[in-house]
Amino acid sequence: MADKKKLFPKLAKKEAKGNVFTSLFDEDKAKKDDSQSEVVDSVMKKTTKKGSILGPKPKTDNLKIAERPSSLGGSLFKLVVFLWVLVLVGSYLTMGASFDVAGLNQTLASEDSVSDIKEAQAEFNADNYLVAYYYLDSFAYLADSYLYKKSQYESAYTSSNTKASLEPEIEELETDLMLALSLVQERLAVEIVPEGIEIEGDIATEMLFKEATVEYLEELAGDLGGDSEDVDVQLELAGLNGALALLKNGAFVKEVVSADSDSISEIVDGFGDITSDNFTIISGIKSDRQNWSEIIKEIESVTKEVDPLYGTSVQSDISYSSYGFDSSAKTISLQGSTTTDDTRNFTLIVNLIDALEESSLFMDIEERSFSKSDSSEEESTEYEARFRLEFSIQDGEDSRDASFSLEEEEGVARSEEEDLESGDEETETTES
Amino acid sequence: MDKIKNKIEIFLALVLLAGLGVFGYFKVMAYLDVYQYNEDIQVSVIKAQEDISDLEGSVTEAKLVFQETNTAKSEEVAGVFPDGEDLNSLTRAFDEFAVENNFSNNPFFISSISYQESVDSEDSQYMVLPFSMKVESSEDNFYKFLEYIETSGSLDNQIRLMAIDNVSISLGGEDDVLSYSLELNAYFQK
Repeated sequence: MADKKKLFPKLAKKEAKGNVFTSLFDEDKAKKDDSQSEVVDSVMKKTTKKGSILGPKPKTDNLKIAERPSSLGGSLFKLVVFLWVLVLVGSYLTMGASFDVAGLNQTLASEDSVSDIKEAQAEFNADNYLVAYYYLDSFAYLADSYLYKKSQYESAYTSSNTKASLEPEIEELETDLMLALSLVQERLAVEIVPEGIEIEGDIATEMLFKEATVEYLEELAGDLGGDSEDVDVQLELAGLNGALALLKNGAFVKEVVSADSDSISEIVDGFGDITSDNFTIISGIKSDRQNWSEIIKEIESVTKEVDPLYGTSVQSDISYSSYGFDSSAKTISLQGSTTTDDTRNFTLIVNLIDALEESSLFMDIEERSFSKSDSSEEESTEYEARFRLEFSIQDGEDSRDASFSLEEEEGVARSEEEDLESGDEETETTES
Repeated sequence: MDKIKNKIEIFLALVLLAGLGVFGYFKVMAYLDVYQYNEDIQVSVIKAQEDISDLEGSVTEAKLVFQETNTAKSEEVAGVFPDGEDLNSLTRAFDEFAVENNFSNNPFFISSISYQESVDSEDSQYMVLPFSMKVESSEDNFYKFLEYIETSGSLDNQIRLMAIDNVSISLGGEDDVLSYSLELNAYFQK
C-alpha cells in the first residue's frame, strides 16, 4: 500500500458506487472523468519519457464520432415481426376475408365450389330420380296386369285352355317387369353424394345434397305451374312430383333397390303409398280390401281338422247355419251346431275354438256359455249343442298360433338340450 | 446494455421466427388442403355435368315410356274407376255375370240390387257407392262371384272396382243352394 502511495501520490480510494459491474463497465462515466484522471496522465507521462514505438495513442473520443450500438438483434426482430405481419395478412386474405383479392381467397372459392357441386349434383340426382320414377310407374302398370293374370292362372275357376294362353303372357310380363325393375334399381342405386366429397357443416353431406335436389325439383315444378290444364304439363308435373316423393321416401327406395320377383305386390303397394293419382288410388283400394274367399276356405279347412267328415257326403258332427263377415270391423261370426252321440258336444266346440285360434288368420275367439240338448225322439241317442262364435281377423302375430307354439316348443326343447349339455359338462368336471 | 438488449432481441426474434415457422406451416397446409378440396370439387362438378349429359338420352327414353304408359292408363282407368256413379253399367255387368254363370245344376240368381247414396271416402280422394245384393247360388258360383269382386279393378279385366263390406250366408239348405246377402262398395272418381 505504501508503494502504491509513492507511485500514485494522489490516488485516493473512493467508495464504490453501484455494483461491481457498473463500477467496472461504467464506460461513459470513465470517459467523462477521463480529463481529470491523473492516473492515466501519470502513466502516459512515463510512456512518453521512454518513447513509444507506435507513436501517440489515437484519441478517437476527440473525433466526436457517435458509437453505434450493435443492431443485429433489433434488425432481426423487426424482420421477424414484419414476416409475422406478412403471414397474418396473407392468411387473412387467403382464408379468412369476406372479400377476394386476385382470386386468392380459398374460403370464398370453397363456398363457390360447394354451391357449384350442389347445383350440378342436384340436377344429376333429379334426372336419376325422374328416370327411376318413370320406370317405376311403368312397372306398377305392368304389375297390375301381371298380378291379375297370375290370379286367373291360379284360380280354380279358370279353364285349362285359358290357363295355357295365360302362361306365355305371364312369362312375357314377368320379363318386362324385371327389366323395368332393374332400370329403376340402376338409377336408385346411384349415390346422391358425389364420390369422395364431404362437406362440413351443420347438416350431414347426404342431407345437404338431398335438400338441394328437393329444392331443385320443387323449383322445376314451381316453374311449370300447377294450374295448367295442358296434358303434357300435367304429365311433366306428375313426373316431378313422383321423383320428389321417391326422394323423400328413403325406406321405400331401399325396399325397391333390394326387391326381386317375389316383391312385386309390395312394390306396387309402396308405390301407391307415395304417389297419388287415379291409378294409385285403385291400387290402394285393391290392397286394402279383404279377400273373403280365403277366409271362408280357411274356416272350412280348420273345421275339417276338427271334424274330418265336414264337407264330405257323410253327415258331419259340425255344421254351420250362417257366416257373417264384416270388412270394416274385420270380424267374423259363425253360427252352427255340433251333433254327437256321446255327449261330447262341448269338447267339439272348444276343439273348434282352439283350431281356429291356432290359425294365423284368426284371433280373439272365445265362447263363455254352452248349452246342450238331447234329441226329442226317444229312440235317438243324439245330442245337439248350438254355438255362435264371434272373432277377429288376425293382424300381426298371436301367441296362440300353431306356428308360434311350434317355435316356442322348439325354443323350450333347445334350452332343455342346452341345460342337459351343461349338466353333463358339470358332471364331467365334478368327476374329474 | 446494448449487448443485452441485442441478445434479448435476437432471442425474441428467434422465438417469434420459430412460432412463425409453425404457424406458417399449419396455415400453408390448411391453405393447400382447402385448395386441393376446391380442386376436387371442381373435378366432381365437371364429372356431374358429364353424367348429366350422359343421362340425357335415358331421361328422354324413360319419359317416352312414361307418356305411353299414362296414355294407356288414363283410358283403362276410366273403365274401372269412372268419373261418375255409372249405375247402369254396373247393373248391366252383374246381369252379364249372372247370364254367364247361371245353369240348372250350377245356379246363380241375383234377386235384388239396392244402391245407396254415394259418399266421400275417408281421405276425400274418391267417392264410394254403397249397395247391397241378395243372391242365391251354388257354392261354386258363390266362390266365383267372390273372385269376380276380389279381382275387380284390374285394368286388364275392365271390371268396375268394387269391394265387399259385409257377407251374410245362410247355410244348411237341402238343395245345396246358398242364400247370401252382400254389402258392397263400388268406387268412382271425385
